[in-house]
Amino acid sequence: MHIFVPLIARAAWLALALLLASCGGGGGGGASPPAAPPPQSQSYTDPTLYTSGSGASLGQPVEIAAVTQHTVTVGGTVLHYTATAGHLTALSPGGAPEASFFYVAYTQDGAAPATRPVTFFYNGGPGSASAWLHLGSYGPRRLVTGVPHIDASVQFPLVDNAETLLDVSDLVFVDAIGSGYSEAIAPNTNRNFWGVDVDAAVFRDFIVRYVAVNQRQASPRFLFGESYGTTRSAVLADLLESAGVEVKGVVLQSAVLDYNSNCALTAKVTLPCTGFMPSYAATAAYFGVAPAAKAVPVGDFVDQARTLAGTQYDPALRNALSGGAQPDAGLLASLASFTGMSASVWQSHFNMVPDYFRYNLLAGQSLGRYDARVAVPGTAPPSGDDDPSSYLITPSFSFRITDYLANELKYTTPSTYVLLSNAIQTWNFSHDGRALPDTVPDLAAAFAQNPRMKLLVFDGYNDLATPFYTTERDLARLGAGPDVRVRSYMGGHMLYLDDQARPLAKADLADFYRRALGN
Amino acid sequence: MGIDANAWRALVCALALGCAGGMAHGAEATVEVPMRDPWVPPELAKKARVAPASSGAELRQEVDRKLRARFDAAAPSGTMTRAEARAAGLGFIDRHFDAIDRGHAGRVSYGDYRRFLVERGAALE
Repeated sequence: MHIFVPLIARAAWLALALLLASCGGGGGGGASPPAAPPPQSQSYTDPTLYTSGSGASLGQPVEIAAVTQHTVTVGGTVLHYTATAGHLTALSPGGAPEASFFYVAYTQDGAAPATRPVTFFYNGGPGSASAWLHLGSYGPRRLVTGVPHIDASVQFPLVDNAETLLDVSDLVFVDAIGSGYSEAIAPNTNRNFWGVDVDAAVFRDFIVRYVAVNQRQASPRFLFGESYGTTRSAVLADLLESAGVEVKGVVLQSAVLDYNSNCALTAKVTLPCTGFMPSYAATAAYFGVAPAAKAVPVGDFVDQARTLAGTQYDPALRNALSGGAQPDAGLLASLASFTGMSASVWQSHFNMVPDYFRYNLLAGQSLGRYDARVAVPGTAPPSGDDDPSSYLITPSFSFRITDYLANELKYTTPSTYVLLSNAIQTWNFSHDGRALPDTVPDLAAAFAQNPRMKLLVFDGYNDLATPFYTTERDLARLGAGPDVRVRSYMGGHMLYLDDQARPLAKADLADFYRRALGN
Repeated sequence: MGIDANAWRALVCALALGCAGGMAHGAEATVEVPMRDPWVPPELAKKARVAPASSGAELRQEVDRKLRARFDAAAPSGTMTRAEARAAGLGFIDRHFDAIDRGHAGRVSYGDYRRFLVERGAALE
């Protein structure tokens, strides 16, 4: 069953790198190559032991993949597709092997590669594998989580995904180094790629390699990152454009573009938490405890919350944080009416951090961080993960990803699929002279090199990790020039898990790709 | 494909819920730390100086400096040939070299590159 592709020798790597450089990875030009027949199916038992430790590295990377054929029905049309699960080696611009990336690619059979878009998906952390997007969002198969009403006593069913993006684009889910089954190649170790700049650079090198090996030089390319993956996307888009690899569009799911604008990311809270207030309001509205939300459509209510945050709360908060006057009673009453927290609580916690809100909105209950609609009994933070919207879904994703890879995609390994590595503990967050990354300038630099690039941003109103209003304020820094669209729905950080939000977001995605491709 | 109910309960306990009492060791835990994305390690969060955000002209100047620094790193003399751009991994300049090199000098400066970007619509000014 196993077809072993010989290891690429160093000389061949160099030759390939030179070939790549001469191609420039540019889109367009030349006749479209004919659509190739789907590759032959093969299972693969990878004997390599992949490890996630900071000092770990591979001696001999393999580039063998399991290949399987499947179908999925989207909008009444049956799509035939090939799943390819295995490793590809990222090469430095000088041609040296850097790291062995584990990826799963879904390619539509019979499509012309020159015009067929390809989208690269990755989660964040940093240190997270791509299993969340892979099994939760727009892949051809997805887990039914029931979010926000999660029953963790059973494994989530894995079903065909009617909202898969495969009808629009080929999809490549790729794991960061040290996560999933991705690992550095000696003399590098995993830690060599644990930093804002080195991580984005090695992702660039993976994408360049994927494009070259699969002859996708003419395919329109898209990036789809979530959370820290949006930080990565901003840096990566700039690096790809600089390398001559044009990016048609970037999708940011629950963005954190500027770590310096999120008050929950600094231990000593000196930043105004303005950006969280509209998320508190949307969450209070969901639970029916926001008087101001009564009889107001949620979109209008959220707009009113934005206005209150921007025009009244933010200036008063900045004033108070700099030692100025305390807030007046009228503002405290408005905040209470919008968020369901009393005026006296707002007086004593005027710069309200999300963890306080999570444990104090509902008597005797605590709320999720990723999705504040997920409420569980108890108000004392447990040891370990204190986010029910995370720990209630983690077991199913953790189990299902290896089960799915082995049993449906026919890729097996003795290795442990690392859903989250310890990379974050030693991650080099510094970037362009700042201790914590601000990647708005990276996005602006990508737009400077490619003014036709398009950006689509998804936010969940109930996400208390990357609040939507903070993201909107960060994006406003780009000015009116770049093509940026923001879509926000009731839902959490992983908005796509919500059965109401996902079809709406899929329609937004289809429209975004049509516009980006000029159709 | 499946996993029996007892093993599943053990896995759920191991990964997340901290169930009381003994736990089966048969389930393989693959999560080493709680998922908290985004997150900054407390030591760094404590000492990191929060940086102000640039916008408008200040952001455009920052982008200009960023692009210039990348160019200068690959062109110590101040100009580069197409081969030098390619060798430095600057595929964009390589691809557009002829358009950037308006004077057909065979070498381009940051000013040439910047002018090309602005003509294509870059907001650098």
